Amino acid sequence: MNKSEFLAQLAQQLRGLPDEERDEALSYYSEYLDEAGEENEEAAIEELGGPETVARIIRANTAQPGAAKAQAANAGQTAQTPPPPRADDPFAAHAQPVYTSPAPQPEAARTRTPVWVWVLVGVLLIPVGVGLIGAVFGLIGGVIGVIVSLIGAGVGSVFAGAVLLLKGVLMLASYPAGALYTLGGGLLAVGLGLAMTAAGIWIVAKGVPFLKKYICLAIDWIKRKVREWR
Amino acid sequence: MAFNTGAALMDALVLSVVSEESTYGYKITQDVRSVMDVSESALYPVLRRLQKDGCLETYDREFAGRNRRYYSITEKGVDQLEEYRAQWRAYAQKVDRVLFGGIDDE
Repeated sequence: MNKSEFLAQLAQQLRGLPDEERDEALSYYSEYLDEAGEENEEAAIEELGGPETVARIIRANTAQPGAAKAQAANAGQTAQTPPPPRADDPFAAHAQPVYTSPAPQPEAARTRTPVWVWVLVGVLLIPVGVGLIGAVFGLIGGVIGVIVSLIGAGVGSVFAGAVLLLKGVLMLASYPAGALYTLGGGLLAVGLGLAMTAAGIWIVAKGVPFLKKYICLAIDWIKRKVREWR
Repeated sequence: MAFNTGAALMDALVLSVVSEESTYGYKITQDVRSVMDVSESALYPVLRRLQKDGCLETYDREFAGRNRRYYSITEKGVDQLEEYRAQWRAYAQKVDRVLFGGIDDE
């Protein structure tokens, strides 16, 4: 489609608007396409969305008392509702594909999923939800179990090592070879035990703030979603 | 861009672009579209409305053998732009506080 075809179709689509509005729009778009350049004409028309889109947007924005009669005369044209009052904070408005007015669209006007769909989805998801919650608790329990056993085994190992060391010292005079063997075992047990205890404590120290942060984020997210739905 | 931005922001951007320098529709469209994801056909109604509201006025100049309609900002437009700037600042600060000030501040 070239410029003159576009303008002819646009003029056609804008029939019924006051002459002034139509002429303004036509000269604007004529100039606009001149600026885009002859070689970019088609791309520019495509970017504009074609004459129908351009006309629809202009019509949607020319809905005012003076134009009402002309619009009514135009069969098949949907009635224009007056723009809703401007909210306190115009920037909080949701973007609309067609800029009918600078005010936000009222909440109710947006298409919303009916409540019963959510209820149905909720009921259908219960088995999955129970499983998931079980999995989460199981995972948490498992992790706690691993940490507790790590620390427990560490402490136990330290004690066992200490007993072996004591025994080794007592044996030193009567049976030096066995005593050295026992002392070595004792030292090994103490070392391993200390390492395991330290690892357990490190996991707790690092993991708790980390978990706290993500649990807070998750709770925050859920709160926000709930607020959006209301 | 992932963020929805309202029509008021578009008004504000148009007024701001024109307040820098009187310019023509095509240029305004490109400037606004460089920061905001709107269709090219969305700009004309905004210009027309701002003009009718008395925030913008137009004058014609010849350019390369054809007409070019320039938009310039009126006193009312400047007031309106200041109002938008103040509201945007307040809004952006609120958003920043929630986005960057929340949970990590412990």
